[in-house]
Amino acid sequence: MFYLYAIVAGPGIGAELPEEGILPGIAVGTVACGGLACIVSEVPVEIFGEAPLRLLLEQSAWTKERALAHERVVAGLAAAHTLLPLKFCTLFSDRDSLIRVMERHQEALGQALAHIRGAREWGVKLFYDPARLRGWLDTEPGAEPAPAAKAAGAAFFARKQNELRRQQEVLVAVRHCTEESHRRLADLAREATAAASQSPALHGRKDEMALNGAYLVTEGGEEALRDCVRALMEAYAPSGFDFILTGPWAPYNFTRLHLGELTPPH
Amino acid sequence: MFYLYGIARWKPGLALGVPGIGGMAVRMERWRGLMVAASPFETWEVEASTPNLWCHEHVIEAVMAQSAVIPLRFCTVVADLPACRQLLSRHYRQLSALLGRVNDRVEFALRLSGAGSGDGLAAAADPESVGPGTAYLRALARHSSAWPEALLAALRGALDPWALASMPWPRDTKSADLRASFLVERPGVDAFRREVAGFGDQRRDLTVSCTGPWPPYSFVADAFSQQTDRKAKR
Amino acid sequence: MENSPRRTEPPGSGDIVLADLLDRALHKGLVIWGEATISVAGVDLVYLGLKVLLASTDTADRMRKAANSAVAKP
Repeated sequence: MFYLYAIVAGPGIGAELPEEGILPGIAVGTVACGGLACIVSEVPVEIFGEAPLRLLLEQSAWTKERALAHERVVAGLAAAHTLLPLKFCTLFSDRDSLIRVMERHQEALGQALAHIRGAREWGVKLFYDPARLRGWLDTEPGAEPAPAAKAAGAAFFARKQNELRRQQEVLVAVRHCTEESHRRLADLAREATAAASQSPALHGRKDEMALNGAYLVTEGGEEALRDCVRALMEAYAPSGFDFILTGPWAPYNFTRLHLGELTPPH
Repeated sequence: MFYLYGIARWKPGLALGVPGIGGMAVRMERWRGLMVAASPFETWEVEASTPNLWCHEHVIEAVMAQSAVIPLRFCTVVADLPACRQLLSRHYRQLSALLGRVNDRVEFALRLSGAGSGDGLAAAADPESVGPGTAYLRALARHSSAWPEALLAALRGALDPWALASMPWPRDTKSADLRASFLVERPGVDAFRREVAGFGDQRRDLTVSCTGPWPPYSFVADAFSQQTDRKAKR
Repeated sequence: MENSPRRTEPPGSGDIVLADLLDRALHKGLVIWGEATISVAGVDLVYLGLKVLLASTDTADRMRKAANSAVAKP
């Protein structure tokens, strides 16, 4: 089987290939196809076949090691080459099926490479603390007074109504910050996406994630991106918003690739 | 499986006289001082069709004619009768307290249209400087989901004295109408309706619609705080 | 049979009545979260309720199978 890490333009990678691949002791090589080169490893079907792989992916330690190995190969090459990184665990049954798929998608792959040439992916995550934001919203003088409660029962409903109103205000403030932030960052990028927010189990923070954005930025535009993030942090920090800039990454979010053939379910 | 309509104070000998969803008979399943209206159902999902919605509504109204009731949201389905009873036992105190708050009280639905786009809170942020002024963000949060302040004050001024509680709905991007729910004591229903008509007469610039009496859906909707739910989740 | 007339101002606006019903039955009313335990042949099966119902019929099937296999044990 062939494990595919990335696709680069043109043949000559050669000596720059990383030593170790997806598994210890497995080498990284290339398969040429037209004007493109696939960065691959030959892997045993006993491990990467659909059935055994499905079981192995349930072991988080093994999966994490493999994901790191994948990223090491990709990141190592991305510094010097325009490459399309493939999704973790993209597999082909043999050399022929790999070449067949490359030939079928030759033009699209060429366009995809052109789209990312000279640019790198950056991630911006936006977090907020709902309690802090609510407290900040509450400190405005002249907040809407609670309606006069006439009886004990009415006081309960007035309290509930106030709670709902405050929750609603938090949501509006978060939406505004998220939309403005993404818009300003996207303006500085060749392309931008906003992925679904991650669960706390994944990001491990106590606060809430409001934006999980990815931005494809030319190398010349990176300083403006960093300045923009800094400005957003300053503007929104008092109300409890936190911006995290990560990168540069290989352009995982901007490859626009959907290749056929064998990919195990995630 | 059982489709549930509402939770009520236990009353013996309650006869409903209306069919449940799918024509099934509605029973009152009791646990101590509470009961839940339930009818047998085949699946977990119920089509939100107009007949089904009215069926849901009519069962709740039939119970409400005879006892205090907490309307449940459409499509509340449980596995079996023991689950019904557990629902009641697990939240017994809260449900009882909530029933006390809605007993003999009905909801009216107000809709105002023709109100225009509100206070005119323009996008005042300077496009050059990043992030809003803090005052702007607060004002935005306060206004963009709310009624125009003056109009809400006018409506509340007219109707709050005749209602126990009022609840404006957040503005909906899909609908231009402004909506509000009012909780009214049953003896005060006629007076409330008169005041609504009077408000409509004063404000010829608006179209005012008032439907009801409804079971108090809006006043039980968020009755259980998250805090309590976490405890209940064990 | 409607025993409480649904007055509308202006009268005859059936669409408004339906809209107000939809607002309420679909988006308001009490929603009860939390666990509910059911007992099938003496086996306690605990599930998380969403609107106090199981997320899908798959889960219900799995639970029934689990209950059946539990009963089969000596």
